[in-house]
Amino acid sequence: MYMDCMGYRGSNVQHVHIYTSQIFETISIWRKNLIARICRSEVKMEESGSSFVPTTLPLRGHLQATWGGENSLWVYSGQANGSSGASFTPTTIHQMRMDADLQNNTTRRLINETHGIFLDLQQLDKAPAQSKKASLVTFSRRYRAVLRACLVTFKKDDTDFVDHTDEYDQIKLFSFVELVWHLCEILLIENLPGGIVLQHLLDWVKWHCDTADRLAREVADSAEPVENYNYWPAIYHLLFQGRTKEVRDLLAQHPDRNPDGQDQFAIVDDLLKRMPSFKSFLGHSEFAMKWNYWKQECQNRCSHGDLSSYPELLLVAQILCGGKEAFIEVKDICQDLSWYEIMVAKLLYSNPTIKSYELQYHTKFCIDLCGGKNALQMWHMILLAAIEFDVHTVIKLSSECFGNWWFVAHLVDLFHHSDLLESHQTHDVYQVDLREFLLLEYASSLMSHQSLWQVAADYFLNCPTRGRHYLEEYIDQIPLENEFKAFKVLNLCQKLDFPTQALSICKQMGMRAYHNNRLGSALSWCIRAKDPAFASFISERFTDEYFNKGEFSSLDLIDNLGSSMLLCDRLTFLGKYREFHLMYENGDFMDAAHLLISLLASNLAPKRIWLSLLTDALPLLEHEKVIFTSEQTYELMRCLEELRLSFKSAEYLGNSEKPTSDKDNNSIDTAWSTKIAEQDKDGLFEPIRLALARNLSRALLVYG
Amino acid sequence: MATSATVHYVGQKVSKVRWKPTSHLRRSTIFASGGWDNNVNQLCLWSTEGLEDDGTAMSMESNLLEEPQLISAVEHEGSVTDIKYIDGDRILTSSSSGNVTLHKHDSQRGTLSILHSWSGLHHYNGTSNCSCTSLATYPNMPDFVSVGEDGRIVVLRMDHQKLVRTIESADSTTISGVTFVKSYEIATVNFIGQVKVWDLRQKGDKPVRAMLLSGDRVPLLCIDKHPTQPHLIVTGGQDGVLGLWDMRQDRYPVTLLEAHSAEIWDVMFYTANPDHLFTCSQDGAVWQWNGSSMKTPSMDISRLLNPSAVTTQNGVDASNVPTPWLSADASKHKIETFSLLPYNRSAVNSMDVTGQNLVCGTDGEAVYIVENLDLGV
Repeated sequence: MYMDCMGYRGSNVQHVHIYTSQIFETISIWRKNLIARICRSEVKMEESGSSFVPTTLPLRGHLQATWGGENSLWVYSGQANGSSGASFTPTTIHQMRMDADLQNNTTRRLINETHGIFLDLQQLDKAPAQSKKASLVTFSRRYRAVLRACLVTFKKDDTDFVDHTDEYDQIKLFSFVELVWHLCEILLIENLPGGIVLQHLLDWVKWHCDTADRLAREVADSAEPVENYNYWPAIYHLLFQGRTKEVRDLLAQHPDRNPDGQDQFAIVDDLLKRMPSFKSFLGHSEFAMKWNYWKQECQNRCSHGDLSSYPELLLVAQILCGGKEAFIEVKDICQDLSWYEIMVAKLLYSNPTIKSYELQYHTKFCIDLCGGKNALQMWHMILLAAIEFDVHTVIKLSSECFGNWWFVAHLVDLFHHSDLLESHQTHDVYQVDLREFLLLEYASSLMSHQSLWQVAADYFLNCPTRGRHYLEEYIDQIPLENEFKAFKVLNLCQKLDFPTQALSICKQMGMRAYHNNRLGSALSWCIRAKDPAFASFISERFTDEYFNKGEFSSLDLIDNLGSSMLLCDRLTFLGKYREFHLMYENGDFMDAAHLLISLLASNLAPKRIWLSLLTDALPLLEHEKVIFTSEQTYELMRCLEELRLSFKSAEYLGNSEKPTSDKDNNSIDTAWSTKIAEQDKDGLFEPIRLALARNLSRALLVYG
Repeated sequence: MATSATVHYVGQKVSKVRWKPTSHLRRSTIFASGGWDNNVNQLCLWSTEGLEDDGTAMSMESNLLEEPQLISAVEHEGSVTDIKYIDGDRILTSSSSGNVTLHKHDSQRGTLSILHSWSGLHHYNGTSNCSCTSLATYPNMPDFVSVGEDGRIVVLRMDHQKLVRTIESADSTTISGVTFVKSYEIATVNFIGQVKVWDLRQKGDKPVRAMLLSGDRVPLLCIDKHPTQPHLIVTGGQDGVLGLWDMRQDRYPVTLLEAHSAEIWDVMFYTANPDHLFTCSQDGAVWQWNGSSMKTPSMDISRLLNPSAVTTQNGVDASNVPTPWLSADASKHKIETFSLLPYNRSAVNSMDVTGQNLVCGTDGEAVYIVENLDLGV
């Protein structure tokens, strides 16, 4: 069986999430039968134009897939229903990597820069309520400014990679995002005095539809502007954006224009010049009066045939009148006008004081002009939803339309702070807190990238219900390549008070050091983690190492343990035993003897090395000066006897099962004698006993 | 002129930044940055030429011109862990995969090329490579030193493939920072709060001096030496504490200053006026420490009050060459500190100062340039 895999960018992450539950199942099966040979072959989707060429994987049998972590899937052939047993043939696991959106240099800039804005925005709740509205607009503009900066960077880079389709797609995507964001800002976030919206809409169109600018520049740059094919289209475009000043400048260049006479150009120029513009500080009635007067004059000019000999100028005047026919005609000339450009223009010349909530009644005509509702793309529907103040549809469509969560997550967060989303309302609709859901999705998509875990963490932390749990799970998965990174992740854990994860990081680093035979590093990680069990284990290794090699390693660490020595008994012993050696080397025999006794008496020393400790005592016992007092000698004797007896105990023999029969007892006895013989292979018992006896006699003389 | 900051997002987390050295008194306009924790890490060169020089061109064009411009970038194997300029066009980098690479910057063509590379310098018993954490160079000397997580000190010579010397078990933990103290002497800091001084002329793997933090043995992460008083060393710790050490004195630091709330990743004296020093930290702050205000008057007063104590505390030549850093007053919060990046949140991994300009790089993938610092020169 062959498999075709089609890659499509953007929505990949969502797909992976759908599979998760199923994946854990498959992974557990897979672990049980770990026969498969993993082959990390990266299957790159090849692009040609905007469509993808399917890549064929040579797989036989039933197709299985598991989530491979990050943005990848493991695909392999397996057996139906996961039936184990039977014969397992080695198979190749193909790792399919998907390029996720937003992971090139420029978009990472977007992610990181907006990360800061996002965090600033979370502080907004602390600000006084009256300044909140104004700051929200500022925040929205900051987001848009970063978007715009990214677009500019893209376009600048674009000169180097002209036919880089990926970049082109990104530019298109970002332009849409910016367009939608700006409209949402105007309608939903901006504080519009009296709901008067037109001036903002004009700015919006001017900012995002650069055809007018492009045509005007083209015409201006040509040697004979008027001869240019785009002369009139440029004028109409500018007029549609309400840029009467520039229209008049262009008209003034026309050769037919009589510089000082009264001709048709002068009439149109006069109309353009006197067009009243609405300022909110003027009264409505005053504006209405001016407007109606000017409008009447426009209509008079059109109907009296003053302009009939110049159809282009007549069309300009008809646009000023705001008649439907004029707009239909212009659309014929300028095919690439979008419905919203026409809508803004039509409102400008027919209804300049329109309120934002009335906009929705003016869309139909313009959409019909551009091929009807069916010809609209998805992102046009977002604009329509925004115009209808349908926040939920805006969010829903944006989630479907843009391949990444960046836009929706940030927009919804902004809505949340402007109280546009009632949480109980979203709960009813989606069964979850919408903002949190989207932020979690966005942060999860960031986590799928190697480097963005720090950014993702901040987003998780701003999800009140489940963010911390998500983060806990993710932190465990961050690979720790070196200590620098371990410190970074550890810092995050400490900041967030995740003691389990912090401990696990220290353990992981400690284990790695241990496996690499770096006992010093391993021990210092245990001490950092305050992990007594692991520290005991490592200390034992140090002790073993000493008795095997006869010298201590990592002296810089062991000599300077300080109070961390108290972490566990084994470590205390290690530190103290090293101290004993130092005292001995320095000729400080009395103190050394004292320390040795206390090590034995306090049971700090593991029994298996008592014999070595007693051997250490030998030279002290035989020293010409009497060093051990009689009590200390008794103590040493007790230890020696206890050691001999303890050989008998099951524990020492490493036999945890209790003897139950005579036969076993017999075998224990045999084992005991062999054990003593084994332990005492150097024949130390007798000399030690002898030395103890001799020392006792001397000590009794000196100390009594 | 007032202090001003410029930010540029570089698209990768920045582990190191270093200004290109310039001839005396001239401000450098080129800096190198190294990335870490990326799929592909890069060593990048940036120019800040447009920042002040031609104000006319700036106002004409968009704001983008004010940001540093990328001159050249080259892929780097593993994360960049340290960058050292040898001279105007040669750059040494160390990597998390245990390599050290010498790059050459062709300023005519604006390209970076690899001149020489030493691989596998740091490893665990030859089985797997581990991170090289820090490099140290000494002016006009071909030898340089590399240290790593394996506790090795490796002495290398420019243009020589063969290692000059390896101190195998120099440290039982990670050596996280190294600096030259004299031409034959280096100082290292390690994971368990120790400062060790090594005489490279001596055989054996024992340091000539070892000093340590008391109490919790907090890892020390970075080290710098005083430019004119080589016995004075400053260290930055994992707990954000700045340590000042007098190598002629006993085995504990002279002063410990609780500074940042998290790891100090980089510390440096300002060469032209060592009464100032800089630290940058995981907590997102870059601090300028100004010790000059307390230098003369407080010394006089304390000497009047208790002349004998001062001489013992401040060492022998504290009276003739006053330095604020070794006086006991440092701990009494008489040193002024300024926060240079008040609005930054992400960890600052490295910084460097040239003239009155500071550059620093963060985990937020941003490079900040702070201009017109008040440095008392």
